[in-house]
Amino acid sequence: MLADEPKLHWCWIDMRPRQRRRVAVVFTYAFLLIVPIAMSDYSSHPGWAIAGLIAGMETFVWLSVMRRNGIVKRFEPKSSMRIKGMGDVVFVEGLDQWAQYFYGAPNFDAASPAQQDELLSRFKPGKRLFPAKRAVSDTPWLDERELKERDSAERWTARQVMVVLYACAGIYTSWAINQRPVHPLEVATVFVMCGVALQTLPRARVLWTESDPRDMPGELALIEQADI
Amino acid sequence: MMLHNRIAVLRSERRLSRADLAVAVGVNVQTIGFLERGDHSPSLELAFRIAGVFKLPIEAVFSPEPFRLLSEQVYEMQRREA
Repeated sequence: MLADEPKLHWCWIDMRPRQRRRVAVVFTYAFLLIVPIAMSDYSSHPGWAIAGLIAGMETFVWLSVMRRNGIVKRFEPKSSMRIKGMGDVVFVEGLDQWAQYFYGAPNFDAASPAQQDELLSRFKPGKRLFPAKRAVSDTPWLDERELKERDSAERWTARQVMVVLYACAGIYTSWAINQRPVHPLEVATVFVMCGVALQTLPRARVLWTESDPRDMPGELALIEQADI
Repeated sequence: MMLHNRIAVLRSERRLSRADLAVAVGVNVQTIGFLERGDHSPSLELAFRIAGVFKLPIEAVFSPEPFRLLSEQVYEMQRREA
């Protein structure tokens, strides 16, 4: 579920060791909890307050290790785009994507020498639009293990968010009993945080649980290091 | 059920990298690591594809019981032949 090895870097930090990923997840959530507290300015216009909160949190998520299509692979394949008169189209850029589009090879190096020669003669630099239906793709975006992991992460997230929502329901009920007023923006903030949790928790779980991609079983690590 | 396998040994023997095997069987390279460490039990289809790459029967690559060491088995075979 982690991206390919060249993409396993965040701010020039090698994120292959699981421990580093765990530290990054803890700091990200610590910050994500601080943002709504720091931005809880209920004196300003409610619309601006919530828009600012959403923008702040989304920007931070985008910059963090939990960015969509960052260290963790996208959970769904890149969708094609519909253009009037052209049907479904996809953007193809770079030799690796050309090899995927025309031959279904995972990257340029994996294509056969004949395919590589043909690709080099046809290749044009830059982002190109091609009809989606002509794409040859043998390899699914997520393989069986990744699908299993994705489903498990999404189920786990749903359970966590459900627990938070039940807890909030309990807290607000107790406030109602004690006649403590609830500011509508507090409720809106809880919803925003649940939204952020729904999009980041599955990726956080993958970052937390997936082992270092370089790990080898037992003594075989020695054989691999010996480079025989 | 935990399924034991000899993927790492067979891969080292044939000088195949994880990436080569992943391309040959059509999975992500990290999935090969998961299989080798025993963190993931493959589907029947994937198990057959992996056995096909090594040109071995499926029971030579996967087993519900832990495998005996290959070196031990080869030594015994040679002793029996001698």
